[in-house]
Amino acid sequence: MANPELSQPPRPSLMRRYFRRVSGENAWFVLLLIPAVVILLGVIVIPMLWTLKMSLANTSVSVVGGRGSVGGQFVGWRNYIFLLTDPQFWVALRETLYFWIVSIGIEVTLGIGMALLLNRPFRGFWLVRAVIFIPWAIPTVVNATLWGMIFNGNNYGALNDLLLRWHWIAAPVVWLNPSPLFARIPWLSHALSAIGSNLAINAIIVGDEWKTLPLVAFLVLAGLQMIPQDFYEAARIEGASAWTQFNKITLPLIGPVLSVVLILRTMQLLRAFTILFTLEGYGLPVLSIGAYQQAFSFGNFGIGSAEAFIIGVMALVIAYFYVRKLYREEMQ
Amino acid sequence: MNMMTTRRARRHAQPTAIVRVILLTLLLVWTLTPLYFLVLTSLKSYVGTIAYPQSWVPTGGSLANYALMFQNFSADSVSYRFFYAMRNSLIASTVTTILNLVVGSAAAYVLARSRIRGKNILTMAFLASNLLPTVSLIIPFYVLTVSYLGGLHLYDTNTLLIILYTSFSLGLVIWIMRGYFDSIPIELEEAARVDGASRMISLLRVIMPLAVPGLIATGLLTFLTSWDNFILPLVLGPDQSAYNLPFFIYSLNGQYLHLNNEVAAGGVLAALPPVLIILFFGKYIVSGLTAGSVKG
Amino acid sequence: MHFWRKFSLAAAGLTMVVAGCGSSPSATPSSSSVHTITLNVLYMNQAGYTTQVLQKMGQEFAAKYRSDHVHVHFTFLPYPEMHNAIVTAAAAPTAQYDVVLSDLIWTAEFAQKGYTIPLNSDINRYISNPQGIPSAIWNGFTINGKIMAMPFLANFQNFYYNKKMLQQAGFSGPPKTMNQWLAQMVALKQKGIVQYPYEDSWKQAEGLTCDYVRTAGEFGAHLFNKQGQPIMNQGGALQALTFMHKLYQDGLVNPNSLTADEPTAADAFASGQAAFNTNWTFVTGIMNTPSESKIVGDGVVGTFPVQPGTNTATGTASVSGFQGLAIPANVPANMQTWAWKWIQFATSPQVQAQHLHSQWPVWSSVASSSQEQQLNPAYAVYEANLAGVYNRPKVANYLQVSAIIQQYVHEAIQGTIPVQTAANDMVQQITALGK
Repeated sequence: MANPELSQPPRPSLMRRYFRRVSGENAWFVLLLIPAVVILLGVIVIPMLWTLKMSLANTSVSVVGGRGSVGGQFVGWRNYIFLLTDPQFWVALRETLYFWIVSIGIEVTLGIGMALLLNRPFRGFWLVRAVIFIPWAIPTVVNATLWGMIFNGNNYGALNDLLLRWHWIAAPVVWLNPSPLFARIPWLSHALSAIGSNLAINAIIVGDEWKTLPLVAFLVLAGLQMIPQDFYEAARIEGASAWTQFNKITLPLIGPVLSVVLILRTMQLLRAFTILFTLEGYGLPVLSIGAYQQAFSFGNFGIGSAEAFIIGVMALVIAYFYVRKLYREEMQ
Repeated sequence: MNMMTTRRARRHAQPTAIVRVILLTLLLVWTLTPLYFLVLTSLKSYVGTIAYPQSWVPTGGSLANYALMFQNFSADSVSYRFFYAMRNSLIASTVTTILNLVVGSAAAYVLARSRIRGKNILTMAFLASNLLPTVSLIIPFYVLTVSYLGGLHLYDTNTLLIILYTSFSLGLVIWIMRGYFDSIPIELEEAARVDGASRMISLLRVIMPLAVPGLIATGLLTFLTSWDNFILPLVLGPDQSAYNLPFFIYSLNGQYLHLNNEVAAGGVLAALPPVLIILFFGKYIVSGLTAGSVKG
Repeated sequence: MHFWRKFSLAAAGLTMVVAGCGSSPSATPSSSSVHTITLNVLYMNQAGYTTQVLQKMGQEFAAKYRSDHVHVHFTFLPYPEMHNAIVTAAAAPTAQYDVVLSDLIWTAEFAQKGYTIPLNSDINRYISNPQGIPSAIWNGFTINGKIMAMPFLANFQNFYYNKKMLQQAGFSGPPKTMNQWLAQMVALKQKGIVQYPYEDSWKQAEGLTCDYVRTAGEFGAHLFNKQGQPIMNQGGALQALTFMHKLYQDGLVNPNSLTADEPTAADAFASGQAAFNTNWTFVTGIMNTPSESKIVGDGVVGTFPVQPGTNTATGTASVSGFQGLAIPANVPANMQTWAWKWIQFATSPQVQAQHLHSQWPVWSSVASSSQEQQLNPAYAVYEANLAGVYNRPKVANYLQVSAIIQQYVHEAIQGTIPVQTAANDMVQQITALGK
């Protein structure tokens, strides 16, 4: 970093020398690129390094002599060791992964299903499409409160009201309580609890998917419509079954679109905060809520930063594999 | 649902058609029931929302909950808070969108056309930056805003939120727009430049018009993402000068009783702009996203 | 190192400035030509002292000090965000808020970490009759002799019951003991008068800790002994946890309580889905308001049932939820003066007397005024419950302690962990925190 030239007096000439090197063609490029790079550095890279720095100290808020500040002494990896030995952290990690994997699973299967369903033209298609797309536009907080009303555990909750009316249930179900599933079958109940599955998180996944499935379906649909029809004609002539057609033609060809969807959704799911926080507060902690609680509620900004940094690194690792895969596809 | 299958499908088999009708109907029911319930609740009185059995038809519905959002405007009344939340949401989302498109497409153009070394890595870095969770950055944001950059008085301002929102969709914009620019043949641009246009002019006159679908798609996506943000205003802008509609809905909900009827009315209004966008431009978002990222 | 730090700051600053160019003008509070003093006040969205009531008080304050051009600017947050906002505001070199509404459970934390300043000298100087506020309320905000906040409102829990349901079940009055209460609930359920006789706020949040402290209180016990050690695994505190679990197991409490916060529990009571609700004072207002309640005329506020032989002095047991006004430690000296003026104004008996509809006043003189008695026929019950409050533990890491309590009490109630095990774990984890 330390550039000896920086301290030498004729700075303008240095600038001029640099500009000569990037003049003409390249000057434009650099000029156009700079704002984005500055934002990347200033709002992402530097804050991320800051998070790292805070996570390596027992960072807390203090007011000394009428001046507030954030700081702390360097403690090395202590906050990380604290987290890794804290059962609550592992619970949060488990819930985060469960939320992510199950959501992605639903999106890939049901999303493709929905897209296939919509792929054949029919009268009124534009209307159906417009209607189905609406949930995606509902702001997350509104969606969360809406599903909070639907899943209300009293008999006047919308879902309980309907199920009671149809005599499908005898007593209202408390959908948003993180209670174990299948309590009557112990081994199944334990197995599900062990992977982080409980009533509340599944209910929330349903509410979340209501909002997000449409986008997935429509992106996949767009992918489907790019597949030339003759591929299928040719396959039919060769006598391929519908499943074979799907497996050998459809799936590989919507691969790129699917990876776009996966990237978009992974970044939303890993940072999921709003719907869980609005509905459960700190009662169903995923990593982002755990970090928020440690820092802002308990005042342990060091531990909170460590947890936040772990999420960041996880996201980057996943991003790396995704992006690499994408680029490999693009090279082909 | 009144539907007519195409000739080819009809030739295939009647049962499949019936199954499709059933599935499509289920899909519409699944989509519409919660929406219907939201609107229905917004027309109820508070007592109506806690009644069992619930009324599923609008009986004696009134617009009182909506009127609440506009009437009796005085300091910190519901209508006052709604007005400021709506104003801030509009300002922050619009400015973020414009900023994102300008900065993002400029960078995307460079990454597509230049021979700068490491441009692929840079694109990846931009995209990866968007995968970072807000929570992992919010603590330093806060510290930077109030202490080191405290002199700029950015806390509780739309300016701060706009900067942060921008950073949260920039990567996606760059990535998709780069896909667009990559797919536009370089010959087009060169032809323009042979005619004497400079690079900037050829960019603005020739390339940008071709990239309009991408701009629309990423612009709308940015707008919707910014509209949706909740945690940033929660921590960095809880005042009327910065809080947005999601924050408004959240605080309306926690105020006193769970006045679900009022929350629903606020929710319908908060959802209206993005829903209108989706109804009119949803098609462009999908085509823009897929075309740009997959280079179809 | 030094260079890098400067560079990074410059880059971050540049970003914000560059990006800021395109943004809207940020709303700056009225900066007219006259030099106005803007007093920034952080309040909470709540019943009673609503946003608009506070705004009116702010205007009255501005009118009182018209010559000084004081303007009170409010920021309102939902309760769960209040603490976070105060802590984060303490990180700023200069405070964003000159006055903050402080919950009594934060007293120890704010005192130990020095986030807000002790108000002893102001109170000694300007409050001529501190004995006008009950000592139970002062105690909530006092630690090691330091008074960390000036009491603003006296919130506490009341015992609400639906007298019509009780009459239908053949009971002439509310329960006096825990066993009577249990028996009434069983009868109400068996006779099919109501599916779940009781609903409470047992969501994993602060409300659950309050309800646990109160239930333990009804059994005559505290959660911590005099030495400050947790004792949930023995005596009355354990009985209370067993009691709560039994209510759940026997279907006497609505299972929805496990996801309910206080307003949700109040919803259920007001909708006629529960015969009993133990909740903060705001329920009194809604249960007999036709636009908010389906049980108008049937809801009654009473004292709490208690275990025989306990709470003999008061005959009831409640939990405190007092709110005070505090001054952050990073408020500049000149603003501290104005902050105190606002505090003195907002908490004065004269102002409180104008807002009897809003909340139970902290001043005994106002609470026992003929005006209050007229307005609130149950004022005697209120006084009894206030006298019988149990406090949540006054420890610096309270929110961490409370989070542990919430987690284990929640699990013990729904039976995912046996009651005794949960209580032991709770004690063990809280003890480990202290180390």
